[in-house]
Amino acid sequence: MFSRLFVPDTFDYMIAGYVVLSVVLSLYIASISLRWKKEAAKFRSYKEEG
Amino acid sequence: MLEKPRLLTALDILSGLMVLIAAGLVFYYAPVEQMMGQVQKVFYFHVATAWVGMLGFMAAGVAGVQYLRTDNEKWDIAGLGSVEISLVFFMVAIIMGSIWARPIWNTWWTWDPRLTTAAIVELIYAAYLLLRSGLDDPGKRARFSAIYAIFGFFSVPLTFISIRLLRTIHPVVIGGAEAASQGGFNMDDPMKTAFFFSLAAFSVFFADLLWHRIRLGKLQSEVNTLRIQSYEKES
Repeated sequence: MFSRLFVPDTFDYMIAGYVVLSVVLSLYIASISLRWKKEAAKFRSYKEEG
Repeated sequence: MLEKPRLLTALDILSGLMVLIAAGLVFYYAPVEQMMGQVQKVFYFHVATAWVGMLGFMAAGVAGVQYLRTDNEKWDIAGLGSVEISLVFFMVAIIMGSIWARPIWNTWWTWDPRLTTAAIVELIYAAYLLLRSGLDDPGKRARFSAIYAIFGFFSVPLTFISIRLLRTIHPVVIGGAEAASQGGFNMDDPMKTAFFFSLAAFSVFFADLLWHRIRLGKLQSEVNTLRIQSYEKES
């Protein structure tokens, strides 16, 4: 009971850590997806030409 | 070429589920550490992202060796994919560590051996991408990148052992003699469950991303070949 009273409030830092993780990984996944779409469009276009 | 393999779709679902379960274990199953409070929950994914970073740098070194042995482009693509993904994960680990450090060490950053060596590793592999972008000849680029990835990997174990060999404020939670004496903590069973499951979840997530990145690399290579053929036809 005594120790529970003195648990520091670091909730905001935890949220900040997980927000960074979510944002950076989401951006990376989006970048892979966008690059794939771009290259796939080029691939189809060259195939149609050839 | 463009069709997505069913196994990759299954891996997407598996990795997504595993990361969600890991998050559930971290937030709802693992207890709040009494000395640090909620911020200690950053630890689970901080270590998991650092682990994936190191795993990818090791994979890039192995791909480098394989490329030099076989001269097969697929190993160059695998090496590049490993480095790219690991750079992202390692950067997340460094930022999450910094956020964790602020309330616990009362600073965002300190030139401690672990933090310094981690920053050096990140810069070494960022330079790998710069090196690649500076070389136009694909063969030379692949060879230099392979050699760079092999030598670059020597910096990774140095980061891992730095907290075990040198005087540092970074805690050694796994395998440390006395975690609490270094500002760390001892893990109870629910914490260990959340921790090891997070490591497994992020390892599967890494494999999934690497497969996607290798497919992208192969497609880029194919498009490049078609571009050259199209140019040769025109001229």
